[in-house]
Amino acid sequence: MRVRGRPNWRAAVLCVVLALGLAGCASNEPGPADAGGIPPAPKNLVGPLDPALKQKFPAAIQAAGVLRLGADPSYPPSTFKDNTGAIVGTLPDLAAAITSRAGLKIQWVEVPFDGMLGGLQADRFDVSWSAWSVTPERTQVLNLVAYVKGGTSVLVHAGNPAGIKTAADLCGRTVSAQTGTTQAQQVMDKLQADCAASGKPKIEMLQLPQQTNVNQSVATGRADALLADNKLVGYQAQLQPGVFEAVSGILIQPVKSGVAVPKDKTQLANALAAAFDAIIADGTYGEILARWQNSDAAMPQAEINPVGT
Amino acid sequence: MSSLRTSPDLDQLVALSDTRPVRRRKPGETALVAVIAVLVAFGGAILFTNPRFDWPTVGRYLFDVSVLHGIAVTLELTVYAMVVGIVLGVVLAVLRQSASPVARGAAWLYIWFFRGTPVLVQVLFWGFASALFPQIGLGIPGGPMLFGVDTNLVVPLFAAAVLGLGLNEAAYMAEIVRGGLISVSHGQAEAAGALGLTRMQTLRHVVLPQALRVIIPPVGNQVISMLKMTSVVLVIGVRDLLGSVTEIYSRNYRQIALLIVACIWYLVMTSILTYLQSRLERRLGRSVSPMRSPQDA
Repeated sequence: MRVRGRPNWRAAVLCVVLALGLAGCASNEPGPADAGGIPPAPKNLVGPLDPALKQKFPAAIQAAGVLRLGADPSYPPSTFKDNTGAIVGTLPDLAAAITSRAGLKIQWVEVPFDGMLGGLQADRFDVSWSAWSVTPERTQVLNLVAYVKGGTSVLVHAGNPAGIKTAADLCGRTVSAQTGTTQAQQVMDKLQADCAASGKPKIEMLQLPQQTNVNQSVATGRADALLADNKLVGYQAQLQPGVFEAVSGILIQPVKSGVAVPKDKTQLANALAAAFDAIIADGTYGEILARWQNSDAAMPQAEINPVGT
Repeated sequence: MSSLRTSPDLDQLVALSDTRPVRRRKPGETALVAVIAVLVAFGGAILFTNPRFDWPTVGRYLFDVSVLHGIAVTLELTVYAMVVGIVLGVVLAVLRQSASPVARGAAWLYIWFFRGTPVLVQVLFWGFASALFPQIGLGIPGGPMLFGVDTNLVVPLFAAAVLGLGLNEAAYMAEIVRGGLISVSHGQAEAAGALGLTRMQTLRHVVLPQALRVIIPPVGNQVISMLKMTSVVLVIGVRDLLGSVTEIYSRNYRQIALLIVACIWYLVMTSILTYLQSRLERRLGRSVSPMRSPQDA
């Protein structure tokens, strides 16, 4: 047995060496957890105290000096963790800008998105600090303070070789989307109808089951463009600027998204809307969205429960 | 068993009926038959009483245009991939038997690589080959490209699917064909050589026809396996049978019903192939084992 065992050991060592070699080849891709891939924070992220803004928050929160925020750090670039484990992204930046001006400290409560509603109702945190798409059903039970407009954006190869500037330029092109998403269905149906109405050729549609391969189809030129959520489009363009480019100015089927508080906490909702307006006015909001390549999603002012736009 | 065969009345019976000997049923077998009958009955009852199977939806989509189109794509992929696989597989098998160590080594290397990596990865690789080679053409390695064409134009997605499936299949076919070639006694080739046939003539007229008998049954298996394996092309967006039903249920959320539609069609196609395979095997086996074929017996 021993004599036979030796070659096997050698084979095992060879396998390990091979595996390490292969892993080494694959590990230089910049990932979301790579601090090197995260752009620097705006200088005035932490702003000066605004006493009038602090007065707008409910007395209990003012007294505690702490705003408890429920977050699901699994959705780059909105909210995720860097390689030190710190919660980063568009929403944490906005939280830092708002709480510093209102003289409050942040207390993060990590909770998966499907546990947000229960956590709010059980008062485990004051605000669900996630991007809730504003829908009529949700505004029945929640006050949604909308701070961005979302929707479908278009991602093309760097340099935009197909010259896509408007949604109408997609007619006659190969366009990819992930199977089962609104982009592969409602958005694509709308675009096809628009192309037909203006007498332009049909979109050649490429449906792929994984978003990674949808991205790859544009990277390799199998598709001229892809349709996806505008936050994802912006983030991909930021992660691989040599490969991708977000087409600015195309936002299809827009829907506004915001942070959520319970329906009865209108004072808190109004205070948050005022806080968003303050950082929109002083330009911090714009810098934060630019940091995460989300400038297309900017709103001129915060809105509470803006259903239907 | 040999003592049974020598019993005179059994021999008589075999001679009279010209069929296989009658076998007495063992007591345990009756119980087994009963258990299987109950299970089949339960299974059948569940199929028809559980409304979640959603048979009306299955019926509505069974002959849907995009499902039928998907079947056509699946059949095309199977045929093209098997043609690539068989032709290349025969070449590889012959190379592996070659006198030249370089040819043997090259064939070994091919089989090692294509049999050693998952077919899903190979299909993804061909689908997105231009990530590695944006252009295909003539050029100096490490130097400038003299003449090149966009890889995506040379290898459209359907061709990428055929290449991914076919090149993988060739590695398996090579081993099957090699097994067939080895099964033909060496004396056959020597005799052909003595008659003045060249190596190629020997291969074509003496060795391959005899090897076919050993090769055909596993090839039938490979065709049936390929018919189902084509479904992996959905990862690169080729709309075969599975791709078509996936697209339908991503819109109407009737996943189980649509997957049943796909299964029904896969079963129909594999049943036909199984029947054809048994016919072909009978035909090829005719000259060697006449007992198998009723009309010759």
